[in-house]
Amino acid sequence: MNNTWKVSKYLISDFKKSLAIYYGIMLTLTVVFVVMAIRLVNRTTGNVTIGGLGSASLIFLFIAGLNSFKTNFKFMQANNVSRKRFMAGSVVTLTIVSALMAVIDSVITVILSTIIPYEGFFKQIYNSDFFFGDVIWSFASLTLFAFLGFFITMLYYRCNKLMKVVVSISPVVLMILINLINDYKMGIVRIGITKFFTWAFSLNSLNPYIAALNTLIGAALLVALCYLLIYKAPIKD
Amino acid sequence: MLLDFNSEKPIYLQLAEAIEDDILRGIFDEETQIVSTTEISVNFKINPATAGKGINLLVDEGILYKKRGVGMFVSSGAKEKILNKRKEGFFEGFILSLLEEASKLGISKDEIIKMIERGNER
Amino acid sequence: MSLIEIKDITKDYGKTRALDNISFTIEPNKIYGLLGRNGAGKTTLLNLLTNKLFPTSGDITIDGETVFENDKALGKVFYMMERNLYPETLRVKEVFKWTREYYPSFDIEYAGKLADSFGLPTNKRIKSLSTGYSSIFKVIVALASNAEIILLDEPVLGLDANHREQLYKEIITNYSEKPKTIIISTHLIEEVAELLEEVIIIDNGRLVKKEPAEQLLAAAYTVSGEASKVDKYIEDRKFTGEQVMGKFKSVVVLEEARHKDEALANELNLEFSMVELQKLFISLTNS
Repeated sequence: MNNTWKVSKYLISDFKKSLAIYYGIMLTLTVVFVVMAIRLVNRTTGNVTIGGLGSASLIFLFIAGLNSFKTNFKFMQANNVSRKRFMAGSVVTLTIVSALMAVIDSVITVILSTIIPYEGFFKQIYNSDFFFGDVIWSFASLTLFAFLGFFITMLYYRCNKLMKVVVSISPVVLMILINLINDYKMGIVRIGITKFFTWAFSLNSLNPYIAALNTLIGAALLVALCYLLIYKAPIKD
Repeated sequence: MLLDFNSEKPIYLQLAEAIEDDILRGIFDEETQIVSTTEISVNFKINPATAGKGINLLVDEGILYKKRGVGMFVSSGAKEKILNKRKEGFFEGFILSLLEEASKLGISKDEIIKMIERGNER
Repeated sequence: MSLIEIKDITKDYGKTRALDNISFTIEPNKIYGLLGRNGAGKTTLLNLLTNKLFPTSGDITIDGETVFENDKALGKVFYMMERNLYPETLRVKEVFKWTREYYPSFDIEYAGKLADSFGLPTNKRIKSLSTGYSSIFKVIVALASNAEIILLDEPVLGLDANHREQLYKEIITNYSEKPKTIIISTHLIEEVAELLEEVIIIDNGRLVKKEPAEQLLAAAYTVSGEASKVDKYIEDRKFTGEQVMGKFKSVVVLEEARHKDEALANELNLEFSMVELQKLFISLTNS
């Protein structure tokens, strides 16, 4: 375990810079929002709500996940760290960063909603102001996006040229296929997908903890796939 | 100290002889410290085990001795030992083969001595 | 202790067999030369030894424990690769600092001193290093790692003569002060010949020799002189590496130097000399 933490230590230090830049931009944007919101509120009756800062964090972690494989994998290989140890370190790091960002984002949400009519995703979907609920739910979503990014890079990394093309077009083919089946079977696929997401995000009972649990299970599945992908992974440029 | 990497003689033997030469020439005096194995191996870029082998040869012959934690020292009487060894080698290497060749050519003992005297005068 | 055992290792790349059923043991605290022609399988072997690649069959252990995905065994080895795996944006001194995380005995002060003596500014980023300085940088990290086993793959790539000399001397100093297993894979055989205690020669994925350098060199000698007379001498002897220049001929005789026939050589007016490792290598791998 000692070694896993040492891997994380490097990965986190590698994260620090981009995280600082990201929150620098977010802070600027927040200030802009606040200024804009105050003006709008003055002009109108005060019914306007703003939201969506949370999606920026999801995208940030997705991209961070995409970028945190190859260079780090090679550096750890230079230090003779085993593949599974590198994976363990990466999982720990992405989890820690997700948790950290969940807390920061939830705090920002609390602050913003007290000074301007701001609503985060959590409030918008589950209509709750409970701070820890927001943290847990955000954490789950952030890990899912982080590991999705990580999984996609690893998938590409393990593919040869032909497989890369196949993997790249497969979502498009899948979409077309789903649409065809959907049209033919009178919307059965769309209904199924809607049902799935309603269940996954607990949109009927509006229980954020069930949603968080489901999301974490999704993230864990991605982690399991990543472990399969790192098996005997070669070193490539 | 010089080593010839193209010579037929193994490096460790060359090294031992080179140290003996330096003792004979007074570069290393008796009861003084000689350069360390590390210095020798670094200087000539030779494996420390090879350098150690050469040094150990001289330790076995009592020409060098080891002071724990300090290094290698030249034994007292080392110079004489080397001289005796070399003289013995001279006898076996030069004199015996000289006599052998002389008997082939039918040169008598007196003639040999005269030749040596003549060589000396030159 | 750090005994490396290579057991029946075979490695295929698709249909090409890079290593063919190789087995040998590497005893601790010696300087080894891993010699082989281009494509002989040297780097493949080093990559297998450090879990960079996986064998098609066979196992490699360090002190009885497999190296494959085993951090305990891997932590005993530092592998200076020919290719660069370091993040390009890191600075030299940052690499020093991070390497200590994975090699706790890494000596930052010593690394800094070495960098100084080679004229490598530790503020430089990895991407701005020339080929020569990239090699120097990687060897410095390897020497300062204080790992029990150090693997150096082409350590003097791109170095000028002065730096090569300095590097060889530094390797010996480092080894003398803290004995460890050092495996040097190189094609510059002549330069390292005297440095090596043991020699491992591989050719076409097979192990040709694994012997103490001295023993290997004592098992052969060169005889030279007039061609027809040399031929007479080697009539009943095993030989290789014939070199003819006009009437002059030299061959490497594959028998122990102490068995050479001085009398016959005298009669034929032939000359003996010690076989050079480089020449022996060429004759052993010229198939």
